[in-house]
Amino acid sequence: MKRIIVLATLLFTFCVDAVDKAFFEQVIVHNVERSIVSAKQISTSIKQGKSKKSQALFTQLVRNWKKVETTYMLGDLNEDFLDTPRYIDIFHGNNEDIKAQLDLIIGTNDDLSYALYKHSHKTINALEYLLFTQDLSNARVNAMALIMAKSIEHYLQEIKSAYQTHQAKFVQDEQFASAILLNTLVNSAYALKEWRIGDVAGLSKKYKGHADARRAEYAISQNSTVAILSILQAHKQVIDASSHKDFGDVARKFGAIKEINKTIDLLNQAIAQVEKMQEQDLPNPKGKLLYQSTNQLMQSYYLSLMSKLGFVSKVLDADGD
Amino acid sequence: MRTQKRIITSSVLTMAMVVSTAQAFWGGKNEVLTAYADIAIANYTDALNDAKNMQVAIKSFAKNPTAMMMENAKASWLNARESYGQTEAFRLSNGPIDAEEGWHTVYGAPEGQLNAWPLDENMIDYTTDAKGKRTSGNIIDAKGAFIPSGEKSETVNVSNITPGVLAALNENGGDANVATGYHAIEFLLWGQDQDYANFMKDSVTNGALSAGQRTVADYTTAKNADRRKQYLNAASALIVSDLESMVMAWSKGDNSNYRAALLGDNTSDKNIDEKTALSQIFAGLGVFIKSELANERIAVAVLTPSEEDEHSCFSDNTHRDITQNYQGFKNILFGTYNGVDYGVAPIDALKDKSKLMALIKSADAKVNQMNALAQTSRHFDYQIRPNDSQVKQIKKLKNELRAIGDQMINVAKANGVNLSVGDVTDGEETQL
Repeated sequence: MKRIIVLATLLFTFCVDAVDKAFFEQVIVHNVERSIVSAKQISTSIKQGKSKKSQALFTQLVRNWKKVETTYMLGDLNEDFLDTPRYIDIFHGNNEDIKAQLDLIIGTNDDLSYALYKHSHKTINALEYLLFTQDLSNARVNAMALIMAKSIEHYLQEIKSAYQTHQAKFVQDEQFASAILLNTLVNSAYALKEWRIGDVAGLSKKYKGHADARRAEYAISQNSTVAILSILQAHKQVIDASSHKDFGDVARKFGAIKEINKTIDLLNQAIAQVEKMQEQDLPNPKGKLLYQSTNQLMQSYYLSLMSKLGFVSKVLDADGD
Repeated sequence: MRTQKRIITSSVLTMAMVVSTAQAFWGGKNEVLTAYADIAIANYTDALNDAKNMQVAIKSFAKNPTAMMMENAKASWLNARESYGQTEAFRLSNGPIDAEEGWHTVYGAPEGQLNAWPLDENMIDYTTDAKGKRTSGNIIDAKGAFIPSGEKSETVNVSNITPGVLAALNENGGDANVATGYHAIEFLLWGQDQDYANFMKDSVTNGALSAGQRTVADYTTAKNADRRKQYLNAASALIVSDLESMVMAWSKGDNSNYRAALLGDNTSDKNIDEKTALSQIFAGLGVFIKSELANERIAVAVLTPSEEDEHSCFSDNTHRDITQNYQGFKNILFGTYNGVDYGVAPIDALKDKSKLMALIKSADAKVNQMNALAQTSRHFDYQIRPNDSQVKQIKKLKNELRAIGDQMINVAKANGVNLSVGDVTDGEETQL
């Protein structure tokens, strides 16, 4: 499995807040709050048995959750929360066939509090399978979907609460905040270009020459490009926001003007590309162009920007399987 | 544990220490490697002796299959795991236990044959499936030819279950097709513990302190009782021969074996460059504690949660596996084994030990707690259940062990070896 780990160490001291309280509240916490609202809305819709509305709200949940996931730094603030995202989302992090497992659970009469014991059974991926392939008017399916939506909301609430608890740690330590923020962006950019685009388009090392639309993150609900756009928009919130001081401002302050501007250009280019894409474009030439753009974006983050700002990066680029 | 060296700031003394350290590593016999090799032979000798005792107990049980003899065989297996578990810290270092290439593959690289896991027990003997039905079509109930599941598997004649037959079946057709080693014996002694339908219901062997409940009837009146005895004897013989091979590799006084090559004493031009040896050992220790123990053996089980992914899922001995794997790592790091000081240890060169020692102290406490609860309250498979208070502690233990793995970069650097995060991480570890 190919992945990247970046160990970043800041070699100099920032003299100003790297990113301030406004950023934390308007981006980090705000994104979680919007996800919680989506999860609540989808729970209500499921309770009402409204299949189409639940599907539409699922798209909204994807949109909001991907922003939370993209800038997830809570594990760096408190290691107790290192694993929380995998309780919400198992894309590229689980070898189980949850579809077959969920089919089995639907077909039994076991108490759902026992039957859905696996964390993977209550993720957004499990919810997608139920909402887009099963009959929500079936009482058991409905009950399962509701458990999933409630579980997602529960963990989002945990994330929000923990972020608020650890806000001071993030805001007060500029070096630490900048390091984990850039680290998060690099990891996100890698996962975006390699797993969410490259694996589908047959451009990743693992699947070179073997495009397959079924590898898309939300292949069942056709929300994969929604997710990709949301991820890129989250990057924009971090490096090119107008409403608050962001990481782009910090980069400029310390002389990385050319580098951050180039990074923003690449980001905008990728956003423009994905805005014109449909789900079925991912394995096609448009997908290839997006792969190239996001690859350049990642390179810009972890080579140009990181180097200019004085970060030392160590990259694990394990080809593996 | 060796007394920590005090840092002396006098320039003269500092220079003396530098020279001394350089001599320790690059001149004369490398003391870190010597201690490593000495611990290896002591540990593998214990593992071999314990395996021989297990073989005797299994033979006795096969000859006289009573409930008491079965308990003796189980006790001998549990005892054998104590020493073998510590040897696992010698893995992943391009050593004889699992080297994929090099002349020392002559020792058979038997790790996969000794300790492959997790295994598909359905291939070995009957189980109760998710629908409550007894499975068949396994090695024990096969007549003549047996075709393991999976692509490209090769047919093996299993009319007589011998060490050679089991070796031919092991991982034949896929990694889960494990036919040999400690866990195959474990399954044949304890039987199934997991409820495949739902491990929360635990309806096969219900109870927080219940392991597999195979009865002695499987070795007396049940169909294929004699084949199970054959299987146990063959599997234990393989373990003994594989560990004999490891003892040969690490024995003192042989100027042609692996130990001699590691220490620069091999007279057959097979000596391993000192820095290469140290690099492989430190990286191996890091990968073992971080990716193998913390990730594959703890994280996958607790984060799924999954009984299938606990290490000794039939005997519920996982708490001891984790404990002894961790102990094996500490043995090498501190240069000690069974309370004996073996000389210069990797950690000795580390000037600031505070972070690593704090992590170890914290991990020690969590390992002790996991053990205490496994013996008195609930086995590991109950400690990883959602909502169990131990889940948080076991996750913390996982995080600390991963951090300890990363600390091997600093330990290596203190010993003159540069490693990266990638060197102490298995690029193919399960993504969680």
